[in-house]
Amino acid sequence: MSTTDTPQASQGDVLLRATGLTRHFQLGGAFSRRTLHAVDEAELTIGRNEIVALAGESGSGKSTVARLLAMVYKPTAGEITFEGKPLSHLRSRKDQLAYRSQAPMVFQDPFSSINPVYRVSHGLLRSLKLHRPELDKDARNAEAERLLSVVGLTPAATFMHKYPYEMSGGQRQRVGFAQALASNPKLIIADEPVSMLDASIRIGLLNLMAELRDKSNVSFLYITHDLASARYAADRLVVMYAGHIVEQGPIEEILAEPKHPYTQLLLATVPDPRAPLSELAGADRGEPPRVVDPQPGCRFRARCPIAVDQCGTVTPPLRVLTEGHQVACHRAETVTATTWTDRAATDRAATDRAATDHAGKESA
Amino acid sequence: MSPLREPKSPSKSLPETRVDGPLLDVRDLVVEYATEKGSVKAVDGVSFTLERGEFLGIVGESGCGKSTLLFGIAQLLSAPAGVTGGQVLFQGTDLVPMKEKEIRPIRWAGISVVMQSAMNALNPVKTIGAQYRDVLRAHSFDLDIPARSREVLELVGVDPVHLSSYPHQLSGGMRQRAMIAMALLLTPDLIVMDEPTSALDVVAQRSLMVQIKELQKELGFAIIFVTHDMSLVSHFSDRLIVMYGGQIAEVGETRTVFDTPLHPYSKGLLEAFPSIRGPKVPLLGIPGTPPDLATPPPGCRFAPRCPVAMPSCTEDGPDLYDVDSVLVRCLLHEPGRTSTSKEDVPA
Repeated sequence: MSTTDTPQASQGDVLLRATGLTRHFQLGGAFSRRTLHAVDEAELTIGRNEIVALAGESGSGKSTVARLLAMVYKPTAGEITFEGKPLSHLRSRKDQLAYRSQAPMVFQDPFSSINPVYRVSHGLLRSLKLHRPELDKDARNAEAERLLSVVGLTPAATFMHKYPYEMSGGQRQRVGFAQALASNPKLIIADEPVSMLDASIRIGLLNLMAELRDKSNVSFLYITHDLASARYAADRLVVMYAGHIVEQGPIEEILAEPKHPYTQLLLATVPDPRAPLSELAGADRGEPPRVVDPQPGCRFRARCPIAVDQCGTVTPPLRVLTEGHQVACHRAETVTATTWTDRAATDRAATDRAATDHAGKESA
Repeated sequence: MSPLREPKSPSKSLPETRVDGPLLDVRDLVVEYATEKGSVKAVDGVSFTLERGEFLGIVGESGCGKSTLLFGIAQLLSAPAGVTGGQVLFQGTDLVPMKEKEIRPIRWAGISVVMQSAMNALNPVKTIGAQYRDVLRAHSFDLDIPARSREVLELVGVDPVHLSSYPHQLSGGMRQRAMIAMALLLTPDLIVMDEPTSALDVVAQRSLMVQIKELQKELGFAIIFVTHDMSLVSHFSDRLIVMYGGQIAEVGETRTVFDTPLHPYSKGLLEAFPSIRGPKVPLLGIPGTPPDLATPPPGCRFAPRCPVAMPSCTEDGPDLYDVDSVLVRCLLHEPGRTSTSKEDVPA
C-alpha cells in the first residue's frame, strides 16, 4: 500500500499524515510469542481546519491510533509526519514536548481526567507556563480567562476558581478543551469527548469543536462510535474495524452510500427516532475479534453477509473508489443498500412469526 | 418451550396478594436525601401505573431523579436517601412500609434490577454460575440450578460455557447480557433497568435493545427502562415518562410523545439529537443545567431554561394537565388556556 494513490497526497494543506501506521502489543510473559495487532497499516491524513471523525466499535483500534498520533505510543512500523516533518526524527525531549503542545489530547472521561484537588486554573496555568514561557504571570492569568470564555465557561473569572466537583460533566469537558487549547495547538485529538455526557449537552460540545475549527484554526481528530454526531461535526470520516481502516472519505458521501458492509452496519445502529427501526438493527450480534497473530484475510469476514472465499485468504487493500473515497473490501462494487437485509430476511422471518403470534394473543 | 420458561405461578414464597389492576402503581412517591443543608427532594410526587407486560421508558438528563425514582420503586435506597411519602403498590401490596425481611422474597422473583455498570454489579471474584446459584438458592430449592442457569444464558444468547467464567473474562456486551440473564432467573413480573446499555458500544447497544424486546415478547415481563438517551427507547417502549427536576414533565404513548412533544423540555431533548439523514441543521441542545433540587426554582422548574417561558411560569407551578391522554406539566397546556396557546406550541 503506497500513499501515492491517495488523492489528498498532492494537496499542500495536509497537517498530519500517517503512512503504514502499525502498532502491535506483545501479549503474555517475556517468552510469549503472541502479538496483538491493534493497528495495522493505517493510512490517514488530517487537513488544516478539518474535523476528521474516526469511528468504530470498541476494540477496533481507534484509541490506539489516537495515542500513536499523540506520541503516547511509538509505532511498531510506519511513520507519522506533522507539517511535513516525520515524528520519528523528534529525538530530544524538547522537540517531543513541542509536538505535544501542537497536538494535545482531550480524554473521554471528564470525571477522571481533571485533577480533583486543584482548581480549574491550575491545569490551565501549568500548561501555559510549560508551553508558552514568553507569557508573564499576569499575561498567563489573562490568557487562562480568555481560554475559558472561548470554550463557553463564562464568567471566566468565577470558573477559574472552581473545583472540578463544583461543575457538571459538560463544563468539565469544556475545561478539558480549554487545557488543550492553552498551547495554541494545530490539532486536538479528542478521544470520545462526548460519550460520557448527557445527550442534551453533547451538542454544545460538538458546536464548540466546529467553532474552534472555524475561529481558532484548529483541526480535530474526533473519535466516536456515534455516526450521527460524527456527521454533525466532522468533514471527513474514517471507519476502523479490528485494526484496519475499512473506509474513509467525505462524510456525507460515505453516509449517503456506504461501500463497506461494516459501515452499513454502524450506520444502521444509530438510533433515529424520526425513522422506523432499521431491519438491520437486530441482524448482527457479533463483536470485533481480538486480533492476535492474524492470518491474511479480511477481518470482518466472519460477520460479513457477502464474504467470499477470497476474503479468507487475501487482505483487502484500501483502494480508491471515487475521488477521496477509499474502501477496503473485495466486493465493494456489489455492496448495495439491501446487502444486509437480504441475508437478514431469513433470520427475521422467524422473529416476525413470533411477533405475529404474540400480537394475535394480545388481541384475543 | 421448556416448563421452566413458562411464567412462574405464584410460588409459596410470594404472598398471595394478586389483585386485578396494574402490576405496579406508584402514587405520589417522594424520595428525599438528607444533606447538611436540609433535605433535598430528588423525586417529588411521582405517580404512574404500569400494566403487565408493558415497556415503560423514563428519560431525562442526569440529576433529574430518574435513578432515584427507580431505586425508590425497587426499595434499594440507603441512607441518606429514603422514601418520605407515597406508595409503591406492587401487585396491590405497598412495598414502602415493608421490612427488609418481607421484601426479600419479592426481590428477583417479583422485581429484579439490572444496573448500569455490569462490571460493578457483578462480583468480580465469583464465576457467573456461582452468582446465579446464590440467587436461586436464596429463593427456591426445587429448581435444577445448573439447568436453569444454562437456560437463562442461552435465552440471552451467551454460550453456557461462560457459567464458569469470571466477569472480567467477558466483553462488555456479554457481561450486560449475563446481568439480564440473572434478572430472568426467577421469571419476575417486573424488571427495572437503569441505563443497562449506556456503557456499551452502539452496535452492542442496539442488538441488546432488540434482544430485550424479544425476551419481553417471549416471557411477558414488564420493563421500566431508565435512560438519558431518548432516541434509544423510541422504537421499544410502549409509554414514555419525561422527568425533569424530580417531577414528571410529560407522560404518554411513546410514539405520540416523539411525534408531538408537548412540553418544551421534551421538545428540547428531542432536538438535541443530530440526525443521520436529511439536511444538516444547526442544533442548540438545551442550554443551562438542571435545577439544584435543594432550592428548586419557584413555579415551573423548567422555566429558567425554557425558550417559551411566560411571567406566570415562575409564579404558579403547573400541574399535570391531560391533553388527549398525554399528561403534561406546562402552563401552555393548562385547560382554558389551550385556545391561546395553540399558536405558540408548534413554534
